[in-house]
Amino acid sequence: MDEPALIHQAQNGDLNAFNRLVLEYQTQVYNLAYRIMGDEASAADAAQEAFISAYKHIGYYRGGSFKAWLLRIVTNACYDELRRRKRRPATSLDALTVLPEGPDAESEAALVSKEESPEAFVQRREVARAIQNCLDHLPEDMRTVVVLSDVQGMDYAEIAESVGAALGTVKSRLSRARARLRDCLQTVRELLPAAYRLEEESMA
Amino acid sequence: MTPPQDLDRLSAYLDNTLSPADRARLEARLAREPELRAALNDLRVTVRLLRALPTLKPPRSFTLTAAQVEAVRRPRGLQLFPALRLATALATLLFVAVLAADFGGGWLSRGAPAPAPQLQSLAVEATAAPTLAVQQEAALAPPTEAPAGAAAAETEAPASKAAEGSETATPELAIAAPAATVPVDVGGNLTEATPAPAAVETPLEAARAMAAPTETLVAAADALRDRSATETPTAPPSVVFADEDASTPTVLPPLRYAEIGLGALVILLAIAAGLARRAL
Repeated sequence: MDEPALIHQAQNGDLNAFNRLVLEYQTQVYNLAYRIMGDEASAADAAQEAFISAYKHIGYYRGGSFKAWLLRIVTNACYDELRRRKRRPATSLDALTVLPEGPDAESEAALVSKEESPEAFVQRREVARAIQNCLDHLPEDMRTVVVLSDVQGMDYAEIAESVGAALGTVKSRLSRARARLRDCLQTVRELLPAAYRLEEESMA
Repeated sequence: MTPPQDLDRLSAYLDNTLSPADRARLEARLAREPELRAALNDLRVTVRLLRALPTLKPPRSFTLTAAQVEAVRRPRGLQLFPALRLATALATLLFVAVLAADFGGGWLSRGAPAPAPQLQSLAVEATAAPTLAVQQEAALAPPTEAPAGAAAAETEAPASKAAEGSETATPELAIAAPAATVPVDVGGNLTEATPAPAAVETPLEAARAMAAPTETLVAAADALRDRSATETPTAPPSVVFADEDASTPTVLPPLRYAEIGLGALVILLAIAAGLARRAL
């Protein structure tokens, strides 16, 4: 994909070129929106909104990381949607995720094998949901930074561009977000295979 | 409880963004402080859990459709419409001015063939530039007392099409209607006898018909009615025009070209303005 050429064509009103950029980034955009919003429907709405806004404003894109430019639009679309939700809190109750509980979750936890890697562990639905629940309880700015960094694997500079903040701000937000998540994830982490935890400790 | 500065350092250490000096200092502390080591391990596990979150498949494609893009472009229509409306108004003024200048050209003797289709464009103008269109009607149209609405409704002539096209312009249409009456009648008779004349290409004659004194139009209408009664129904409208051309063998004067051009321009601008308005 010749990204600069596609961007240039899109800036000249070429919808096909823009849609190729959409196809390239939509998974990342949707996942960022999902981790910020916490539910599928809101994430899809925010992602669609973000792409429409990106198309509308692509004339203002002036070089640099297109991904960072796009993700900034996505985070703004998410914040707008979250603000709308706060004004109408009733609709957000459905979207609230809850920590796993009840016999199903317990029996699932009991099945954790000693050999299970944390990756395989997190793939299980209720664990992913528990982590998402912890993310949902972070302040928005921390949540965005930790998602960009630890879920999406972006570096500090890209994150700073994506959230429109200084590098130092990104670092401290990330550090505080991780500390909060550490506390929130305490229960989940206790379910991790002991071997993995010991391995981690020995690595430190 | 780990102090915030240490958490910042540990976090940066995990991301490998500490300066070599800071890194060395922190590693020395980690070697002798089990609590700090435990805090680092906690953070590392936390980050690893987050990294392991599955990448979700989007529930649908977010590619934009032409319709969504059209909605995005609406603000441009907002600017386009006033510009087109002004252009239509100016072109109409010019058209009227040229027509007025041409008044003395002896067109009275040429009669008034098939003026009805011109109504369509006039009505469209009325929606786009109401005040000017009204002025134009006032300048061109001799007052007649005929029941305009009835005439327009009876014939399926373009007048009714124009009415459909301009739902928002009822007052203008009412003003335009008196002018419409006689030509529609003529057009109606013509269409009875012959296939519908494609007189949109001859806005000049149509406009002249609009400007003609009522008596002339009525006379022309009568003449046409007589003709449609006597002639065979297969006679195409071109025959009528040919007859007329034969009676006026002179070459088209330059003003006529100007009028045709301006008339066409007015029609095109009015349509464009209508489209821009619909896009609002």
